[in-house]
Amino acid sequence: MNNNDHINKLTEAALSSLDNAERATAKPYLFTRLNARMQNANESNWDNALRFISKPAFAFVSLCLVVAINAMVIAYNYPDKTTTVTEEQYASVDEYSSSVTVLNDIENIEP
Amino acid sequence: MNQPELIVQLQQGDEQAFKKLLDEWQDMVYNTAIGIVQNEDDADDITQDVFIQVYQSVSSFKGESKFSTWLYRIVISKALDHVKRKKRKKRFAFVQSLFGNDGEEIVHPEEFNHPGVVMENKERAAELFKAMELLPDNQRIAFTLHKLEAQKHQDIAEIMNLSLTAVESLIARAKGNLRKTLTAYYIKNNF
Repeated sequence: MNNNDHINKLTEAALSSLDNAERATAKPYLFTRLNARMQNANESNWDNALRFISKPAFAFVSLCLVVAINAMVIAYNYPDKTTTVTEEQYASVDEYSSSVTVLNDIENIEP
Repeated sequence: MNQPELIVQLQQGDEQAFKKLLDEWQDMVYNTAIGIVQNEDDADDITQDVFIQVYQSVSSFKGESKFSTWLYRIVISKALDHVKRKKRKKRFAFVQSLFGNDGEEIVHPEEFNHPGVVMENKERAAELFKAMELLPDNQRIAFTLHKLEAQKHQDIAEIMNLSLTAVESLIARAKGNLRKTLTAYYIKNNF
């Protein structure tokens, strides 16, 4: 019984050990440390960006992208001339009975 | 300068206002963090994280709750994240140790002594802090705010977004659980 009382007393004493405890105070120069940390974070963002840009893989991908864009622009502005002949074009050929003669055709021996 | 003015100036990015905010709240933030993470260096890191977040997101503070409530919520969330991360690391370190830890030593933390506790209570407080580590998060937060920050139950309810009765019940359950853990500890160690 005495032992139980003793343990109960210890428990209650532990439970109330934080009563009237003072507030723990923050370490000094918090503002300076925060400033330094925020500055470092900003700098490291730039460092990371520069490191990323200077990678050969980034340069290669950028080059491919530039070439691809150029190719697309050229293809868009100068479409292929040997492609489809429209029905309208066939019709005009029939109408004027025009035919293409090839001057250097060796089988065409008629004058 | 009153608090709404201070907040307006903070939202405008005024450095002096930020300094004033630090002077006013840094101990509250540090004390709450140290109560939860039970480590001075970790509490210092959390204090810095909290004020960086405050600086970056003060524009989103609408004044719907008290500024202190908003600040407490940030501290609690950061501190709990930190505790979870530490537990995860500990678990990972245990798994690593099963496969051999390459000679890297796992550091077991010493018992925590809160710097604000008077000398004669240091040992008992350290035992209490050890028991507090075993509490579920919500009981631990409610008990810490009540004991270390001397917050009223109504304010704790506001911070934790709970009803007053829920907070009273949390604190009562926390005390009950702590009593059990401490009793078992004292019996086991033949006090």
